Amino acid sequence: MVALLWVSWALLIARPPDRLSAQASLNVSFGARYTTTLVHDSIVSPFDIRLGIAPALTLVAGLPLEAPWTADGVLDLSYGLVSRHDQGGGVTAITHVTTLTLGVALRRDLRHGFSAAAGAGLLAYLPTERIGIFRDGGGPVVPMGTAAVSYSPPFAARRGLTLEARYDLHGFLTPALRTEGFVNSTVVHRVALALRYRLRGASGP
Amino acid sequence: MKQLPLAVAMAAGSLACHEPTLPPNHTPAYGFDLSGAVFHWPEDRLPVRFYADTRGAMQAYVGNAINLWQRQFLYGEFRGVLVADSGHADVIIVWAGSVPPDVSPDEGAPVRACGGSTIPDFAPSGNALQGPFHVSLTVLQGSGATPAQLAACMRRTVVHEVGHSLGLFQEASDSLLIMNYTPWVSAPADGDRRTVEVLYHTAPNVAPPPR
Repeated sequence: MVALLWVSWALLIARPPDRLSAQASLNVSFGARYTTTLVHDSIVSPFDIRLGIAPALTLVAGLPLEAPWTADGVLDLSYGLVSRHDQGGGVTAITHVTTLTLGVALRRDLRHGFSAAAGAGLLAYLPTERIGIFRDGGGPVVPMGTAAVSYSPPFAARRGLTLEARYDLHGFLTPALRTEGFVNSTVVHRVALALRYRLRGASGP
Repeated sequence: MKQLPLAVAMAAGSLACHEPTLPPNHTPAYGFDLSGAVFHWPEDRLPVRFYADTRGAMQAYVGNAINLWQRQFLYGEFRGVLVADSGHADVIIVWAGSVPPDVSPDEGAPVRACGGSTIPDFAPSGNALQGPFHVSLTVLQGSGATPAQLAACMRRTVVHEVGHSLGLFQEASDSLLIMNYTPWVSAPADGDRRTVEVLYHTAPNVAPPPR
């Protein structure tokens, strides 16, 4: 929550657009996301609980600020299989889970078709069934921090296409894990590689 | 805009200030082997198929027991399901003798009004099962229990016997655990959870029955 407040403050101090003609943009991106270990535990032998490589769908609404800045509102969905990975190599499926994030970010256009963004938001785990570590639900909505780098070479920019690498981090702890005796949340890092397409609005850098 | 790097750094810092998660206590509360024989349902046999007597409230008791035991596992170790055909079941649970009335269980002080037994069907070699677990529930005569007290006894005893069919072959000495010789509580407790967790992460030396 503190992270969200800091970025909200940064957005507030940013100057509003100089011209009312500034055009909002709408982008959609689709890619794949890697997530680091959700839980590490040891019962007889150590094992990890991981979310597999998952498809990621992101919707970004951009509002131009003073050049070269843009304020982005980001809605992100990801869906993947949560599994137990034993030390011996065995993998046991637990359930599928959707992660939903809603955030804000500041993006800056850089040279040569690059742009970079940083922001914060809120993230929720939505399991498909109440079982295992999600037996008492996905837990509370948690704050997250995010950063992204985009690249759009001229030939792709003409077609509204951009390559994007998106990173975020958040804390993971479900009510069932708390009941089990876990006290602190695991810091989870996620990295997504995606292809972004401009649905409407101003062209990118 | 000059404050942006500071804001982002503060945001990242506030998220990263978590201490590493420490694994919780997983020490088992009691033994689970039967003279050295360790059994649990392997992953490729899940969900375990339970057949419950269709008379009285047995199906409700078994459904409750499956749900309670499933909730003890965090990491996908066990799943159970009720099946309609005893010929395709891994665990068969029936009444022995009379069928108690199907009434709401008394949630008050427990009364010892019933008994149960679970018989694993070991192959002569001793290192495999050759048929399903057979569980039977009995009404104890002369206990003086009301029908509701008897229902409560049956409900917790089914949870206890299903625990045996999961591979918890020993009885617990702690009366606050469902696997106590006489179950006085209605659900698996923390000690039961720790024990069954360790069992399902221990290499078994008894194979499941063939399907």
